[in-house]
Amino acid sequence: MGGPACLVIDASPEQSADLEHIRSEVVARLGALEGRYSRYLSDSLVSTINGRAGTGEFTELDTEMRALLDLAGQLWGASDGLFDITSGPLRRAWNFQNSGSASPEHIASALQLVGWDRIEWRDSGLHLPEAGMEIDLGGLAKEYAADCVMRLMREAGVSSGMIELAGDVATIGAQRNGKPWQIGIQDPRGSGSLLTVSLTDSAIATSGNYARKIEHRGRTYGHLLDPRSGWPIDGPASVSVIDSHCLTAGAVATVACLKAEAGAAEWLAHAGLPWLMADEDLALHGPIAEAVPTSG
Amino acid sequence: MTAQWRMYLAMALMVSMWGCGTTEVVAPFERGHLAEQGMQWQSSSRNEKLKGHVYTSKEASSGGTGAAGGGCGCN
Amino acid sequence: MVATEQRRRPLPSSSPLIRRLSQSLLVLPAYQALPSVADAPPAFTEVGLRYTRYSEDSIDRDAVIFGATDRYDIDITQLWIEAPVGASWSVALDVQNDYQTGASPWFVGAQQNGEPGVIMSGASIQDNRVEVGVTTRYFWADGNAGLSVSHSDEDDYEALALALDASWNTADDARTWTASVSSSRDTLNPTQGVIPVFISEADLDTQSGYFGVSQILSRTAIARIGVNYTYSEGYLSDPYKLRDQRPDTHERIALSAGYRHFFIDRDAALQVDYRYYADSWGTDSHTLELGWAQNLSRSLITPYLRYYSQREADFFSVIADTSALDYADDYRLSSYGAVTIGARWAIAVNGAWSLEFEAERYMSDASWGLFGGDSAPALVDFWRGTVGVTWRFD
Repeated sequence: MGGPACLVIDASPEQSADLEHIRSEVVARLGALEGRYSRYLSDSLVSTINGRAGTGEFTELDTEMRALLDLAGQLWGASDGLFDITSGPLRRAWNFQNSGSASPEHIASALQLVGWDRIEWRDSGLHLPEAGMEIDLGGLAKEYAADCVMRLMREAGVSSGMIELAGDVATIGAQRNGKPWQIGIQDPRGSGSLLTVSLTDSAIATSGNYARKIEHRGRTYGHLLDPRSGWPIDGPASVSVIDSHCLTAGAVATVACLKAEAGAAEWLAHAGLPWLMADEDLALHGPIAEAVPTSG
Repeated sequence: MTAQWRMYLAMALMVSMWGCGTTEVVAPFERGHLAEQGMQWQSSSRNEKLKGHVYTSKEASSGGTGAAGGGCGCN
Repeated sequence: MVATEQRRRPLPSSSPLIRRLSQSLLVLPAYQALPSVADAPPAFTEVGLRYTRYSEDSIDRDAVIFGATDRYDIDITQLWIEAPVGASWSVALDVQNDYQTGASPWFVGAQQNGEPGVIMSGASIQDNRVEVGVTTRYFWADGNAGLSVSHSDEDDYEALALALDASWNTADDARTWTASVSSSRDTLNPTQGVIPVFISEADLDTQSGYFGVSQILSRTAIARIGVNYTYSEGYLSDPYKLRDQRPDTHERIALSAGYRHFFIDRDAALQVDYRYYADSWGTDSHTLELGWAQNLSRSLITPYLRYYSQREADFFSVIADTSALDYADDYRLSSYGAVTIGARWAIAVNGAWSLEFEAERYMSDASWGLFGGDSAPALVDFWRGTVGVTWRFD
């Protein structure tokens, strides 16, 4: 799924013997999840589904895949189609890796291949009706992986731990000294952090327009695209959300980033979870910013 | 006689309603709204039981959404 | 009534949006600390306590020929515990106590002005009823089935009831079938008090069955219909009324229909329930209930309105005709209409504690009915208020 991973287990000296065992289990679990949900691995479940697009062949879904797709469908509905795991062809049309521009014809033809509501469902399987359509669970699978690791560690008896997967953080308990985990939220433009939050037994997910950029007709846009129009979204620079689970937090943050700032704030208030939004000028908004003095 | 007739006519109407009406297929991921507490058939089984009890003891009608339970001296 | 519904889902403590998102994930082990919505026993033990005050308005002085004007007041206490047993069973114990005081109409006679008037049952009665019920429920992937036994005991009345119910989902989970049957044996031992009673012991046997189906219509709408048939045989008269002689069988049919519609933009559900009832005594009735369940941040508030109208029983007359085979002057068998206005408020304090409040006002009047008939002088109006607290723990 890309991005750095960091695992911290705060254990007493007696527990240290188990640590290597837990670490290897975590690594194995993350590897297994990547093997299922990465669109970069040609034999992943996601690649299998994408490879069968337009062939008429349905792919059977197991409970886990089904649940993640259910969530994707919920988000698609709740965001009025803004969050769409089928928007991959658009990303290719804009070609972020290179020039970062697209012709209207390219966008129009890519839009023909986008649409969650076009997925065909049958019994326990799905099929993408046209060749070139694809699904991308990258936006959900990383947060899901963090939740799986939390579960695994809890079952292994860890009472104090933390995992960070490319900017998303999930925590178990507090640190062993009783202090909450201190999590820095990355500055979307720089290398420092916007502010630091204290977490216990909860997760914080951050979604944003940082890392990748496109320039079009003299304007700078983030890499996020509106799957309905095919054009980049002029959304907030970054949004962070705290919830008991990383996946729900990440889902809420991701959708917020797909909306203009006013719409994002409304969505976040509707979700009712603690949130932080950095606008275009990196001014901070939301309950987290109000509760925590900035570290900078 | 008329009473009996009313009862059985109503029952026949009910049976004939079976299978009428169309529904759309609702995928499992679209059922979040249906799980809302306000979408349930009853607020709670204890509340339903108590309300049923009050109405049944003050009105001539009873029953509806379940089999009748035991009675009491109130009706 | 036997509860044939699926178990109530706990009132979630987060926003409706998060609840809906989380719901998709509940099948995954990583999220199963959350309560599950599949057909499975509750993941927690629940203890609840509810107190209800039921209070009838005093009867209008002008409608009373003799006796007190105070009518019934009832204090109802419900206590229950429900717990999972193993992976696929749950057990619930319910105890209910009703403490009733007041007077009721003994018979209806003519006043000096020719209008009918009520002779009340003299001194205030006091009666305590205790009902104990045990329900065991078995859950499998596509449904659940319950067996319950309940026993109700008071000074003059004893009832033992046995009920079996099951509900199961179709393969696509869009339709749920529900069936239940019950049987009860009631025994009356009327207390000899201020008013003369003419029987010493009598029995009443009741058999009842229900069959219904609910169907998901869209992602925001669900409907159900059901039919309930009940047959009673035995002593069906009211021993505390002077002029009350009813048939010794009673056949009843109730047809019910319900509809729920969720309005996403309002974050609220519309609730519509209708019942048609008809019986072998010539009574039939319409009941329509409308509710609006509004989600608030941590609570659900549901104002509701109920309209009820019944046709009088064949053997009812305002002043009983004792020369007939069957006769009764009980206002509950007359033609009238009734309106209930109420509201219910359920609050999730946190994951473990929840509170509920409910209040309603019931008013009845012969002129509000849909059916013709003479108006009985003792129609009832009442207030009901309920407070409850529920505690859940692992």
